[in-house]
Amino acid sequence: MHGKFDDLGRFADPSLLILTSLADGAKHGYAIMTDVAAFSGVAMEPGTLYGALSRLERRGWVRPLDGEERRKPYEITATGQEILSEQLASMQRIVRVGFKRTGLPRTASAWGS
Amino acid sequence: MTAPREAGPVLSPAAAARLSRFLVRCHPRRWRERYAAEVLDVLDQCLPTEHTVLDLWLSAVSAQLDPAWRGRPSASAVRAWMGRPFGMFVTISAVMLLLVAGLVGGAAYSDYLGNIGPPMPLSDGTFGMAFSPDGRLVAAINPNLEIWSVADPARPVRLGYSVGDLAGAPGAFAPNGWLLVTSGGPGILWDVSHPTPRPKEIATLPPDHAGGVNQYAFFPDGRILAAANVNGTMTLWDTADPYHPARIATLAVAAASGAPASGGQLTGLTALAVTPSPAAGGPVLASGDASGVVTLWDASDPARISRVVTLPAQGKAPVSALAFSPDGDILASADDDGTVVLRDVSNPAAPAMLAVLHLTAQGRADFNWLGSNIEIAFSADGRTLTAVAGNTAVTRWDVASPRAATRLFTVTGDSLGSGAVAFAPGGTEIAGPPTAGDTLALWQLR
Repeated sequence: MHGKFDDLGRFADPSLLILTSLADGAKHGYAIMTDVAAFSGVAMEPGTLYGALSRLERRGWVRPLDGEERRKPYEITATGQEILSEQLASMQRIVRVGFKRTGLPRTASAWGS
Repeated sequence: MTAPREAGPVLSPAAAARLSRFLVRCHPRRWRERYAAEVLDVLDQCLPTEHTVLDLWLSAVSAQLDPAWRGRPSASAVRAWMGRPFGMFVTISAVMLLLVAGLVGGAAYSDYLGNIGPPMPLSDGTFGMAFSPDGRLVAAINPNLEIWSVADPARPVRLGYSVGDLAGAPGAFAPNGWLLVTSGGPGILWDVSHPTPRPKEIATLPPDHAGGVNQYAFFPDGRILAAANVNGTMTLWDTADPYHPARIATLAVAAASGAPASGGQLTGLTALAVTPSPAAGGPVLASGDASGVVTLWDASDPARISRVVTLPAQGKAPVSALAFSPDGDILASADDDGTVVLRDVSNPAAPAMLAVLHLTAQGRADFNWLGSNIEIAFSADGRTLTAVAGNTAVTRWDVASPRAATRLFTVTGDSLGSGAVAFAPGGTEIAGPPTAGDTLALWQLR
Protein backbone atom coordinates (compact mmCIF):
# COMPACT_ATOMS: atom_id res chain seq x y z
CA MET A 1 0.00 0.00 0.00
CA HIS A 2 2.84 2.36 0.75
CA GLY A 3 5.80 3.06 -1.42
CA LYS A 4 3.87 3.44 -4.61
CA PHE A 5 1.16 5.47 -2.94
CA ASP A 6 3.48 7.54 -0.77
CA ASP A 7 4.18 9.70 -3.80
CA LEU A 8 0.47 10.45 -4.07
CA GLY A 9 0.74 12.26 -0.76
CA ARG A 10 2.47 15.09 -2.54
CA PHE A 11 -0.62 15.67 -4.64
CA ALA A 12 -3.12 15.14 -1.87
CA ASP A 13 -3.92 18.16 0.27
CA PRO A 14 -4.08 17.03 3.94
CA SER A 15 -7.12 19.28 4.51
CA LEU A 16 -9.05 17.56 1.75
CA LEU A 17 -8.14 14.13 3.10
CA ILE A 18 -9.25 15.10 6.61
CA LEU A 19 -12.54 16.59 5.42
CA THR A 20 -13.20 13.48 3.34
CA SER A 21 -12.44 11.29 6.32
CA LEU A 22 -14.80 13.25 8.56
CA ALA A 23 -17.57 13.27 5.95
CA ASP A 24 -19.02 9.98 7.22
CA GLY A 25 -18.79 10.82 10.90
CA ALA A 26 -16.69 12.32 13.69
CA LYS A 27 -13.29 10.79 14.40
CA HIS A 28 -10.40 11.50 16.72
CA GLY A 29 -6.84 12.12 15.51
CA TYR A 30 -5.53 8.60 15.32
CA ALA A 31 -8.76 7.36 13.71
CA ILE A 32 -8.41 10.02 11.00
CA MET A 33 -4.87 8.85 10.28
CA THR A 34 -5.82 5.21 9.90
CA ASP A 35 -8.93 6.06 7.87
CA VAL A 36 -6.97 8.33 5.48
CA ALA A 37 -4.31 5.65 5.07
CA ALA A 38 -7.02 3.09 4.32
CA PHE A 39 -8.91 5.07 1.66
CA SER A 40 -6.05 7.02 0.06
CA GLY A 41 -2.86 5.19 0.93
CA VAL A 42 -1.39 8.44 2.29
CA ALA A 43 0.53 7.92 5.54
CA MET A 44 -0.13 11.20 7.30
CA GLU A 45 2.23 12.07 10.13
CA PRO A 46 0.89 13.59 13.37
CA GLY A 47 2.56 16.96 12.72
CA THR A 48 0.86 17.30 9.35
CA LEU A 49 -2.45 16.05 10.73
CA TYR A 50 -2.64 18.52 13.60
CA GLY A 51 -1.20 21.35 11.49
CA ALA A 52 -4.08 20.85 9.03
CA LEU A 53 -6.67 20.22 11.79
CA SER A 54 -5.74 23.49 13.52
CA ARG A 55 -6.12 25.42 10.24
CA LEU A 56 -9.46 23.74 9.50
CA GLU A 57 -10.67 24.47 12.99
CA ARG A 58 -9.65 28.12 12.74
CA ARG A 59 -11.58 28.45 9.46
CA GLY A 60 -14.58 26.84 11.04
CA TRP A 61 -14.65 23.85 8.68
CA VAL A 62 -14.24 21.30 11.48
CA ARG A 63 -15.15 21.51 15.13
CA PRO A 64 -13.89 19.53 18.15
CA LEU A 65 -16.56 17.64 20.05
CA ASP A 66 -16.55 17.13 23.78
CA GLY A 67 -14.64 14.05 24.68
CA GLU A 68 -11.79 13.03 26.87
CA GLU A 69 -8.96 15.51 26.52
CA ARG A 70 -6.54 13.07 24.91
CA ARG A 71 -8.96 11.71 22.31
CA LYS A 72 -11.03 14.62 21.16
CA PRO A 73 -13.30 13.69 18.21
CA TYR A 74 -13.65 16.16 15.37
CA GLU A 75 -16.67 16.61 13.18
CA ILE A 76 -17.11 18.40 9.88
CA THR A 77 -19.21 21.60 10.02
CA ALA A 78 -21.83 22.70 7.50
CA THR A 79 -19.34 25.13 5.94
CA GLY A 80 -16.83 22.30 5.83
CA GLN A 81 -19.35 20.14 3.98
CA GLU A 82 -19.89 22.90 1.42
CA ILE A 83 -16.18 23.43 0.92
CA LEU A 84 -15.60 19.70 0.58
CA SER A 85 -18.28 19.26 -2.10
CA GLU A 86 -16.96 22.30 -3.99
CA GLN A 87 -13.46 20.85 -3.82
CA LEU A 88 -14.59 17.41 -4.92
CA ALA A 89 -16.59 18.85 -7.83
CA SER A 90 -13.59 20.85 -8.95
CA MET A 91 -11.39 17.76 -8.66
CA GLN A 92 -13.92 15.77 -10.64
CA ARG A 93 -13.61 18.27 -13.48
CA ILE A 94 -9.83 17.89 -13.33
CA VAL A 95 -10.16 14.11 -13.31
CA ARG A 96 -12.49 14.18 -16.31
CA VAL A 97 -10.16 16.42 -18.33
CA GLY A 98 -7.18 14.41 -17.21
CA PHE A 99 -8.65 11.16 -18.42
CA LYS A 100 -9.72 12.74 -21.68
CA ARG A 101 -6.34 14.27 -22.42
CA THR A 102 -4.27 11.26 -21.44
CA GLY A 103 -6.61 8.87 -23.24
CA LEU A 104 -6.66 6.56 -20.24
CA PRO A 105 -9.77 4.37 -20.00
CA ARG A 106 -12.21 5.44 -17.32
CA THR A 107 -12.53 1.97 -15.93
CA ALA A 108 -13.62 1.05 -12.50
CA SER A 109 -10.13 0.02 -11.58
CA ALA A 110 -8.73 3.33 -12.82
CA TRP A 111 -11.24 5.09 -10.62
CA GLY A 112 -10.09 3.02 -7.71
CA SER A 113 -13.58 2.16 -6.53
CA MET B 1 -0.30 2.51 12.26
CA THR B 2 2.87 3.49 10.45
CA ALA B 3 3.56 0.93 7.81
CA PRO B 4 6.92 -0.79 7.52
CA ARG B 5 9.29 1.18 5.33
CA GLU B 6 11.63 -0.23 2.75
CA ALA B 7 14.79 1.51 3.90
CA GLY B 8 16.19 0.72 7.31
CA PRO B 9 15.28 3.29 9.95
CA VAL B 10 17.72 6.12 10.46
CA LEU B 11 16.52 6.51 14.02
CA SER B 12 15.71 3.72 16.38
CA PRO B 13 11.99 3.70 17.29
CA ALA B 14 12.84 4.66 20.86
CA ALA B 15 14.94 7.63 19.75
CA ALA B 16 12.27 8.71 17.26
CA ALA B 17 9.61 8.55 19.98
CA ARG B 18 11.75 10.58 22.37
CA LEU B 19 12.55 13.20 19.72
CA SER B 20 8.91 13.41 18.68
CA ARG B 21 7.84 14.08 22.26
CA PHE B 22 10.52 16.71 22.59
CA LEU B 23 9.35 18.39 19.37
CA VAL B 24 5.76 18.53 20.63
CA ARG B 25 7.12 20.59 23.53
CA CYS B 26 8.83 22.89 20.99
CA HIS B 27 5.49 24.17 19.74
CA PRO B 28 4.17 27.52 21.03
CA ARG B 29 2.52 27.40 24.41
CA ARG B 30 -0.98 28.15 23.15
CA TRP B 31 -0.69 25.41 20.53
CA ARG B 32 0.45 22.98 23.21
CA GLU B 33 -2.41 23.87 25.54
CA ARG B 34 -4.81 23.04 22.75
CA TYR B 35 -3.21 20.06 20.92
CA ALA B 36 -0.26 18.58 22.82
CA ALA B 37 -2.29 15.98 24.71
CA GLU B 38 -3.93 14.75 21.51
CA VAL B 39 -0.68 14.57 19.56
CA LEU B 40 1.04 12.74 22.40
CA ASP B 41 -1.83 10.28 22.42
CA VAL B 42 -1.44 9.71 18.67
CA LEU B 43 2.29 9.26 19.12
CA ASP B 44 1.53 6.60 21.73
CA GLN B 45 -0.55 4.69 19.22
CA CYS B 46 1.63 4.91 16.13
CA LEU B 47 5.26 3.96 15.76
CA PRO B 48 7.22 7.20 15.25
CA THR B 49 9.98 7.18 12.62
CA GLU B 50 12.41 9.77 11.33
CA HIS B 51 9.58 10.94 9.04
CA THR B 52 7.46 11.65 12.11
CA VAL B 53 10.31 13.60 13.67
CA LEU B 54 10.91 15.69 10.54
CA ASP B 55 7.19 16.31 10.16
CA LEU B 56 6.84 17.46 13.77
CA TRP B 57 9.86 19.69 13.43
CA LEU B 58 8.27 21.37 10.39
CA SER B 59 5.03 21.65 12.31
CA ALA B 60 6.82 23.29 15.25
CA VAL B 61 8.60 25.76 12.96
CA SER B 62 5.40 26.70 11.15
CA ALA B 63 3.45 27.05 14.42
CA GLN B 64 6.21 29.22 15.87
CA LEU B 65 6.03 31.45 12.80
CA ASP B 66 2.22 31.56 12.90
CA PRO B 67 1.08 34.78 14.62
CA ALA B 68 -2.07 32.98 15.78
CA TRP B 69 -0.05 30.64 18.00
CA ARG B 70 2.74 32.86 19.13
CA GLY B 71 1.75 33.14 22.73
CA ARG B 72 2.24 36.36 24.62
CA PRO B 73 4.37 35.19 27.53
CA SER B 74 7.01 32.94 25.99
CA ALA B 75 7.45 34.49 22.58
CA SER B 76 7.15 38.08 23.66
CA ALA B 77 10.81 38.30 24.60
CA VAL B 78 11.83 37.18 21.14
CA ARG B 79 9.33 39.50 19.53
CA ALA B 80 10.52 42.41 21.63
CA TRP B 81 14.09 41.62 20.64
CA MET B 82 13.23 41.33 16.95
CA GLY B 83 10.99 44.39 17.20
CA ARG B 84 13.90 46.59 18.11
CA PRO B 85 15.81 47.75 15.01
CA PHE B 86 19.10 46.84 16.66
CA GLY B 87 17.90 43.36 17.57
CA MET B 88 16.62 42.79 14.06
CA PHE B 89 19.93 44.02 12.67
CA VAL B 90 22.01 41.75 14.91
CA THR B 91 19.87 38.72 14.11
CA ILE B 92 19.96 39.30 10.35
CA SER B 93 23.71 39.97 10.49
CA ALA B 94 24.33 36.76 12.38
CA VAL B 95 22.33 34.78 9.81
CA MET B 96 24.19 36.46 6.93
CA LEU B 97 27.55 35.77 8.60
CA LEU B 98 26.66 32.11 9.01
CA LEU B 99 25.65 31.93 5.34
CA VAL B 100 28.89 33.55 4.17
CA ALA B 101 30.94 31.28 6.43
CA GLY B 102 29.14 28.28 4.98
CA LEU B 103 29.75 29.42 1.42
CA VAL B 104 33.44 30.15 2.01
CA GLY B 105 33.90 26.87 3.85
CA GLY B 106 32.10 24.97 1.10
CA ALA B 107 34.18 26.60 -1.62
CA ALA B 108 37.40 25.88 0.22
CA TYR B 109 36.35 22.30 0.76
CA SER B 110 35.48 21.71 -2.89
CA ASP B 111 38.75 23.37 -3.86
CA TYR B 112 40.52 20.96 -1.53
CA LEU B 113 38.59 18.01 -2.96
CA GLY B 114 39.68 19.00 -6.46
CA ASN B 115 43.31 18.71 -5.51
CA ILE B 116 43.63 15.66 -3.36
CA GLY B 117 44.28 13.24 -6.20
CA PRO B 118 47.78 11.84 -6.05
CA PRO B 119 50.27 13.21 -8.56
CA MET B 120 50.63 11.07 -11.64
CA PRO B 121 53.92 9.53 -12.65
CA LEU B 122 55.51 11.82 -15.20
CA SER B 123 56.37 8.98 -17.50
CA ASP B 124 52.69 8.35 -18.16
CA GLY B 125 51.95 10.67 -21.01
CA THR B 126 53.76 13.87 -20.27
CA PHE B 127 52.59 16.40 -22.83
CA GLY B 128 54.69 19.34 -21.96
CA MET B 129 57.75 20.57 -20.11
CA ALA B 130 58.90 24.13 -19.60
CA PHE B 131 61.88 25.63 -17.80
CA SER B 132 61.60 28.93 -15.97
CA PRO B 133 63.90 31.68 -17.31
CA ASP B 134 66.27 31.28 -14.36
CA GLY B 135 66.40 27.53 -14.88
CA ARG B 136 65.27 26.76 -11.32
CA LEU B 137 61.72 25.58 -12.00
CA VAL B 138 60.29 23.04 -14.39
CA ALA B 139 56.59 22.95 -15.24
CA ALA B 140 55.43 19.49 -16.30
CA ILE B 141 52.02 18.83 -17.82
CA ASN B 142 50.77 15.29 -17.59
CA PRO B 143 47.82 16.41 -17.84
CA ASN B 144 47.99 17.88 -14.34
CA LEU B 145 50.31 20.79 -13.87
CA GLU B 146 53.31 19.94 -11.71
CA ILE B 147 55.89 22.46 -10.60
CA TRP B 148 59.35 21.04 -9.86
CA SER B 149 62.31 22.73 -8.30
CA VAL B 150 65.51 21.79 -10.14
CA ALA B 151 67.70 24.23 -8.22
CA ASP B 152 69.59 21.14 -7.08
CA PRO B 153 69.72 19.15 -10.32
CA ALA B 154 70.75 16.03 -8.47
CA ARG B 155 67.53 16.04 -6.50
CA PRO B 156 64.53 17.51 -8.30
CA VAL B 157 61.68 18.20 -5.87
CA ARG B 158 58.02 18.41 -6.74
CA LEU B 159 56.84 21.64 -5.11
CA GLY B 160 53.18 21.29 -5.91
CA TYR B 161 50.66 20.36 -8.50
CA SER B 162 47.21 21.24 -9.67
CA VAL B 163 44.87 18.57 -10.92
CA GLY B 164 43.67 19.50 -14.37
CA ASP B 165 43.05 18.44 -17.91
CA LEU B 166 45.84 20.29 -19.61
CA ALA B 167 47.04 19.03 -22.93
CA GLY B 168 48.63 20.21 -26.12
CA ALA B 169 51.25 22.89 -25.85
CA PRO B 170 54.27 22.45 -23.58
CA GLY B 171 53.51 25.65 -21.72
CA ALA B 172 55.77 28.67 -21.46
CA PHE B 173 57.14 30.84 -18.67
CA ALA B 174 57.04 34.61 -18.93
CA PRO B 175 60.36 36.40 -18.43
CA ASN B 176 59.28 37.42 -14.92
CA GLY B 177 59.56 33.76 -13.91
CA TRP B 178 56.25 33.48 -12.07
CA LEU B 179 53.74 33.72 -14.88
CA LEU B 180 53.17 30.48 -16.75
CA VAL B 181 50.84 29.73 -19.63
CA THR B 182 49.52 26.27 -20.40
CA SER B 183 46.92 25.10 -22.82
CA GLY B 184 44.01 22.96 -21.83
CA GLY B 185 40.86 23.83 -23.70
CA PRO B 186 41.42 27.55 -23.43
CA GLY B 187 44.88 28.69 -22.44
CA ILE B 188 45.36 29.12 -18.72
CA LEU B 189 47.60 31.64 -16.98
CA TRP B 190 49.17 30.50 -13.70
CA ASP B 191 50.94 32.26 -10.89
CA VAL B 192 53.65 29.82 -9.83
CA SER B 193 55.42 32.13 -7.38
CA HIS B 194 54.07 30.01 -4.50
CA PRO B 195 53.56 26.59 -6.06
CA THR B 196 53.17 24.70 -2.77
CA PRO B 197 50.76 23.00 -2.38
CA ARG B 198 49.49 24.06 -5.75
CA PRO B 199 50.08 26.68 -8.42
CA LYS B 200 47.40 29.32 -8.63
CA GLU B 201 45.23 29.61 -11.71
CA ILE B 202 44.71 33.32 -12.34
CA ALA B 203 43.02 33.66 -15.74
CA THR B 204 41.90 31.83 -18.82
CA LEU B 205 42.59 33.06 -22.32
CA PRO B 206 39.20 33.34 -24.02
CA PRO B 207 39.22 30.80 -26.85
CA ASP B 208 39.15 32.34 -30.30
CA HIS B 209 39.13 29.12 -32.31
CA ALA B 210 38.34 25.49 -32.00
CA GLY B 211 41.29 23.23 -31.47
CA GLY B 212 44.42 23.48 -29.46
CA VAL B 213 47.71 25.28 -29.34
CA ASN B 214 51.02 23.85 -30.52
CA GLN B 215 53.30 26.34 -28.86
CA TYR B 216 53.26 29.47 -26.73
CA ALA B 217 56.01 32.09 -26.67
CA PHE B 218 56.31 35.21 -24.53
CA PHE B 219 57.95 38.32 -25.96
CA PRO B 220 61.06 39.47 -24.09
CA ASP B 221 59.10 42.38 -22.62
CA GLY B 222 56.86 39.86 -20.88
CA ARG B 223 53.76 41.68 -22.04
CA ILE B 224 52.91 39.95 -25.27
CA LEU B 225 52.13 36.27 -25.52
CA ALA B 226 51.99 34.56 -28.90
CA ALA B 227 50.22 31.27 -29.57
CA ALA B 228 50.79 28.97 -32.55
CA ASN B 229 47.44 27.33 -33.09
CA VAL B 230 46.56 23.91 -34.42
CA ASN B 231 44.17 25.53 -36.90
CA GLY B 232 47.02 27.41 -38.55
CA THR B 233 46.40 30.79 -36.98
CA MET B 234 48.55 32.81 -34.65
CA THR B 235 47.05 34.69 -31.70
CA LEU B 236 48.67 37.53 -29.80
CA TRP B 237 47.62 38.35 -26.24
CA ASP B 238 48.39 41.30 -24.05
CA THR B 239 49.24 39.90 -20.60
CA ALA B 240 50.46 43.15 -19.03
CA ASP B 241 47.68 42.51 -16.52
CA PRO B 242 47.85 38.71 -16.26
CA TYR B 243 44.53 38.63 -14.42
CA HIS B 244 42.80 40.20 -17.42
CA PRO B 245 44.54 39.03 -20.59
CA ALA B 246 43.28 40.72 -23.76
CA ARG B 247 43.47 39.41 -27.29
CA ILE B 248 45.33 41.80 -29.55
CA ALA B 249 45.29 40.05 -32.89
CA THR B 250 44.58 36.79 -34.66
CA LEU B 251 46.34 36.11 -37.94
CA ALA B 252 45.74 33.39 -40.48
CA VAL B 253 49.23 32.09 -41.20
CA ALA B 254 49.17 28.51 -42.37
CA ALA B 255 46.47 26.48 -44.01
CA ALA B 256 44.62 24.45 -41.44
CA SER B 257 45.21 20.81 -42.05
CA GLY B 258 42.05 18.95 -42.89
CA ALA B 259 43.13 15.81 -41.16
CA PRO B 260 43.16 15.82 -37.39
CA ALA B 261 46.48 15.43 -35.67
CA SER B 262 47.30 11.77 -35.32
CA GLY B 263 50.26 9.82 -34.09
CA GLY B 264 51.91 12.94 -32.77
CA GLN B 265 51.98 14.53 -36.21
CA LEU B 266 51.87 18.30 -36.00
CA THR B 267 49.26 20.32 -37.85
CA GLY B 268 48.63 23.99 -38.43
CA LEU B 269 51.13 26.44 -37.03
CA THR B 270 53.66 24.26 -35.27
CA ALA B 271 56.46 26.38 -33.82
CA LEU B 272 57.20 29.89 -32.60
CA ALA B 273 60.24 31.85 -31.50
CA VAL B 274 60.83 35.48 -30.59
CA THR B 275 64.19 37.25 -30.75
CA PRO B 276 65.56 37.09 -27.19
CA SER B 277 66.65 40.71 -26.83
CA PRO B 278 64.74 43.51 -28.48
CA ALA B 279 66.91 44.28 -31.48
CA ALA B 280 66.91 47.66 -33.16
CA GLY B 281 63.52 48.00 -34.77
CA GLY B 282 61.69 45.74 -32.35
CA PRO B 283 61.35 42.03 -31.83
CA VAL B 284 61.19 39.60 -34.71
CA LEU B 285 58.84 36.68 -34.48
CA ALA B 286 59.45 33.44 -36.33
CA SER B 287 56.71 30.93 -37.00
CA GLY B 288 56.84 27.53 -38.60
CA ASP B 289 54.00 25.47 -39.99
CA ALA B 290 53.13 21.87 -40.69
CA SER B 291 54.34 22.09 -44.30
CA GLY B 292 57.82 23.18 -43.22
CA VAL B 293 57.44 26.86 -44.16
CA VAL B 294 59.06 29.39 -41.81
CA THR B 295 57.77 32.97 -41.71
CA LEU B 296 59.45 36.00 -40.15
CA TRP B 297 57.28 38.73 -38.68
CA ASP B 298 57.96 42.29 -37.68
CA ALA B 299 56.46 42.41 -34.20
CA SER B 300 57.54 45.89 -33.17
CA ASP B 301 53.85 46.77 -32.97
CA PRO B 302 52.10 43.60 -31.81
CA ALA B 303 48.70 44.98 -32.75
CA ARG B 304 49.87 45.43 -36.34
CA ILE B 305 52.23 42.54 -36.77
CA SER B 306 53.39 42.27 -40.37
CA ARG B 307 54.90 39.53 -42.48
CA VAL B 308 58.50 40.27 -43.43
CA VAL B 309 59.49 37.21 -45.39
CA THR B 310 58.38 33.66 -46.02
CA LEU B 311 61.12 31.05 -46.22
CA PRO B 312 60.44 28.03 -48.39
CA ALA B 313 60.27 24.61 -46.81
CA GLN B 314 63.44 22.49 -46.85
CA GLY B 315 61.54 19.26 -47.04
CA LYS B 316 58.01 18.12 -46.47
CA ALA B 317 58.17 17.73 -42.70
CA PRO B 318 56.55 20.10 -40.20
CA VAL B 319 58.71 22.59 -38.38
CA SER B 320 59.22 21.07 -34.96
CA ALA B 321 61.18 23.79 -33.21
CA LEU B 322 62.58 27.28 -33.77
CA ALA B 323 65.31 29.08 -31.85
CA PHE B 324 67.01 32.44 -32.18
CA SER B 325 70.64 32.84 -31.18
CA PRO B 326 71.08 35.10 -28.11
CA ASP B 327 72.02 38.07 -30.31
CA GLY B 328 69.02 37.40 -32.53
CA ASP B 329 71.15 37.15 -35.68
CA ILE B 330 70.76 33.42 -36.32
CA LEU B 331 67.54 31.49 -36.59
CA ALA B 332 67.72 27.73 -36.21
CA SER B 333 64.77 25.68 -37.36
CA ALA B 334 64.38 21.97 -36.80
CA ASP B 335 62.09 19.95 -39.01
CA ASP B 336 60.39 16.79 -37.92
CA ASP B 337 62.52 14.78 -40.37
CA GLY B 338 65.70 15.57 -38.42
CA THR B 339 66.93 18.48 -40.56
CA VAL B 340 68.23 21.56 -38.74
CA VAL B 341 68.64 24.72 -40.81
CA LEU B 342 70.68 27.76 -39.74
CA ARG B 343 69.86 31.12 -41.32
CA ASP B 344 71.34 34.56 -40.92
CA VAL B 345 68.39 36.79 -40.07
CA SER B 346 70.36 39.88 -38.99
CA ASN B 347 68.46 41.54 -41.80
CA PRO B 348 65.08 39.84 -41.51
CA ALA B 349 64.01 41.08 -44.91
CA ALA B 350 66.84 39.19 -46.59
CA PRO B 351 67.70 36.02 -44.68
CA ALA B 352 70.73 34.07 -45.82
CA MET B 353 71.14 30.32 -45.60
CA LEU B 354 74.08 29.41 -43.38
CA ALA B 355 74.03 25.64 -42.95
CA VAL B 356 71.86 22.55 -43.13
CA LEU B 357 72.59 20.07 -40.35
CA HIS B 358 71.27 16.58 -39.85
CA LEU B 359 70.44 14.77 -36.69
CA THR B 360 71.89 11.31 -36.43
CA ALA B 361 71.11 8.51 -34.12
CA GLN B 362 74.14 6.35 -33.54
CA GLY B 363 73.65 2.97 -35.10
CA ARG B 364 70.20 3.92 -36.23
CA ALA B 365 70.72 5.33 -39.71
CA ASP B 366 67.18 4.51 -40.70
CA PHE B 367 65.71 6.21 -37.67
CA ASN B 368 62.38 7.78 -38.51
CA TRP B 369 62.35 11.16 -36.84
CA LEU B 370 58.82 11.98 -37.91
CA GLY B 371 56.77 13.16 -34.98
CA SER B 372 59.67 12.51 -32.68
CA ASN B 373 59.53 15.78 -30.82
CA ILE B 374 62.71 17.65 -31.63
CA GLU B 375 63.75 20.56 -29.42
CA ILE B 376 66.67 22.91 -30.04
CA ALA B 377 68.48 25.51 -27.94
CA PHE B 378 71.43 27.86 -28.37
CA SER B 379 73.98 28.14 -25.59
CA ALA B 380 74.05 31.42 -23.67
CA ASP B 381 77.13 32.53 -25.57
CA GLY B 382 75.61 31.53 -28.88
CA ARG B 383 78.58 29.36 -29.80
CA THR B 384 76.83 25.98 -29.67
CA LEU B 385 73.45 24.63 -30.68
CA THR B 386 72.00 21.56 -29.00
CA ALA B 387 69.13 19.39 -30.21
CA VAL B 388 67.31 16.61 -28.45
CA ALA B 389 65.33 14.29 -30.64
CA GLY B 390 63.10 11.38 -30.00
CA ASN B 391 63.98 11.63 -26.32
CA THR B 392 66.93 9.42 -27.15
CA ALA B 393 69.63 11.38 -28.96
CA VAL B 394 71.24 14.64 -27.95
CA THR B 395 73.39 16.32 -30.58
CA ARG B 396 75.52 19.42 -30.11
CA TRP B 397 77.09 21.48 -32.87
CA ASP B 398 79.74 24.16 -32.74
CA VAL B 399 78.09 27.08 -34.50
CA ALA B 400 80.64 29.77 -33.64
CA SER B 401 81.25 29.92 -37.39
CA PRO B 402 77.75 28.99 -38.56
CA ARG B 403 78.71 28.42 -42.20
CA ALA B 404 81.19 25.81 -41.01
CA ALA B 405 79.08 24.31 -38.22
CA THR B 406 80.53 21.04 -36.94
CA ARG B 407 79.00 18.32 -34.83
CA LEU B 408 80.65 18.12 -31.42
CA PHE B 409 78.87 15.01 -30.14
CA THR B 410 75.79 12.91 -30.26
CA VAL B 411 74.88 10.97 -27.17
CA THR B 412 72.08 8.52 -26.91
CA GLY B 413 70.52 7.44 -23.73
CA ASP B 414 67.48 5.66 -22.55
CA SER B 415 66.84 7.51 -19.34
CA LEU B 416 64.25 9.79 -20.88
CA GLY B 417 60.80 8.33 -21.18
CA SER B 418 58.33 9.13 -23.89
CA GLY B 419 56.81 12.57 -23.82
CA ALA B 420 57.82 16.15 -24.10
CA VAL B 421 61.24 17.46 -23.14
CA ALA B 422 62.48 20.97 -22.47
CA PHE B 423 65.81 22.73 -22.53
CA ALA B 424 66.96 24.91 -19.69
CA PRO B 425 67.85 28.39 -20.92
CA GLY B 426 71.22 28.12 -22.57
CA GLY B 427 70.70 24.46 -23.35
CA THR B 428 72.69 23.26 -20.33
CA GLU B 429 70.02 20.92 -19.02
CA ILE B 430 67.24 18.84 -20.46
CA ALA B 431 64.19 17.96 -18.40
CA GLY B 432 61.89 15.17 -19.39
CA PRO B 433 59.80 12.36 -18.06
CA PRO B 434 61.81 9.39 -16.83
CA THR B 435 61.52 5.93 -18.33
CA ALA B 436 60.38 4.67 -14.96
CA GLY B 437 59.47 6.03 -11.60
CA ASP B 438 57.61 9.00 -10.29
CA THR B 439 60.17 11.73 -10.67
CA LEU B 440 61.71 14.06 -13.19
CA ALA B 441 64.60 13.06 -15.44
CA LEU B 442 67.27 15.72 -15.78
CA TRP B 443 70.20 15.61 -18.11
CA GLN B 444 73.07 17.96 -17.51
CA LEU B 445 75.10 18.80 -20.57
CA ARG B 446 78.57 20.18 -19.98
